[in-house]
Amino acid sequence: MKVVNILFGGFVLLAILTGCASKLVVETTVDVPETLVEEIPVDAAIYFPDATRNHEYVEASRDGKAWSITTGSSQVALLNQVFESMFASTSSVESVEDALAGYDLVIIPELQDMQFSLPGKTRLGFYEVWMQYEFTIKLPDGTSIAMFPVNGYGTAPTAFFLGNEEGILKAANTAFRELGAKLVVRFNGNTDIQKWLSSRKDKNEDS
Amino acid sequence: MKRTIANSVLFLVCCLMLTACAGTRRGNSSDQQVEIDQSFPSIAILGRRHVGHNKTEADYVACIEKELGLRFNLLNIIPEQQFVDSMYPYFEKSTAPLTIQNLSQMMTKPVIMKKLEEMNVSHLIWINGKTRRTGASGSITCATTGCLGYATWSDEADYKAHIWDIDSMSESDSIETNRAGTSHLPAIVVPIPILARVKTGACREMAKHITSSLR
Repeated sequence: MKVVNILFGGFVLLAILTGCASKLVVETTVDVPETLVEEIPVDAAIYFPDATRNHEYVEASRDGKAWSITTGSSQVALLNQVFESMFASTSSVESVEDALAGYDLVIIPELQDMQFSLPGKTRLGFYEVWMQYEFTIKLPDGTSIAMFPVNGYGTAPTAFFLGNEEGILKAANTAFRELGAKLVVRFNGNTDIQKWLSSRKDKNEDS
Repeated sequence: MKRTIANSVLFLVCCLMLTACAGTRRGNSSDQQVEIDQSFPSIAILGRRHVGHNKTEADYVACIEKELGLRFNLLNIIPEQQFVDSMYPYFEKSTAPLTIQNLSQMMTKPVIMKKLEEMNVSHLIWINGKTRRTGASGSITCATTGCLGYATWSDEADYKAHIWDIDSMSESDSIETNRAGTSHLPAIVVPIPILARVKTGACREMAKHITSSLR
């Protein structure tokens, strides 16, 4: 009888831990494949505003839970990985002023909004993560040559014994993956950036 | 009382064991990496997932990969995830080419051309479609003493494959498969599933047509 009681106690505890926890505390991670791109012969500086670098989603009470989702370091890791594959060299700088001297381009990725949903909320049986970015591309003299939005959306289906933390982690990684993919395509397809790159190439060839 | 509790625990443990086994198998198949033999051509089968929730199921694509693997010895079948990861970011759901003209334009980028050549890709096969539940009725009640009742459900599978020939840069064929079926689950103490296996049937039929098209 004692064994049966212990087993039942274990099940109840497991149910509480997986389904009924009063907190949702997650730190997202990034697992995105190597980017297949042609390297652009440019030394780029990346300036991550504090809102991007230290992004944390906090909500005192939602769906009966206190939410705390830390994504800043994942966002920085993802964008560094993508930019490193795109440019001849990249450096992370502490301020835009630091970046204006000694680099060909300054990129400012600004996270504008990030949203999360649990399956109970979506009523569609999956976790959802959505993020909206605006990328500003500046020249060393401070003039802006391009500004374009990119969003990332990811879902993860519910599964037996998949906790909310793991569901959010999977959906966030899918959203990061999409953000990285769209960023490369939008950057390479931006006519203002392409014009600047070809004029730079012409100048380099002339000199 | 003791016996009832013991039965309940045993039932729960069995459920856990069954679900755990299913999860492990799924994990292994998605992590599968295939070594590409350069002496044979390669193909990749890709599910269309760009329209909202109308996404082609990964397990349907995996089923076709498996079926074609049984039919062709001298062909590399690159698992979908391996191909999409190798081509990142160009074959994601939001960036994948929707037409052969889009692919042709994409292949003007030397890195993409080089990667497809490295993998020796001769054909890309896009699968568009889904298996939908079209109806369900009945109910089953289970207790510690067993189950009692009857349930039935109907599924409909509609899939279309577009075969892109990379060498000629054209759509060499398009194939459509439709299947429907009704599954039954009578339960007298123990549930006895009589499954229609609509998706598996549609997969085998599609694999058969793709085989004739590629040969």
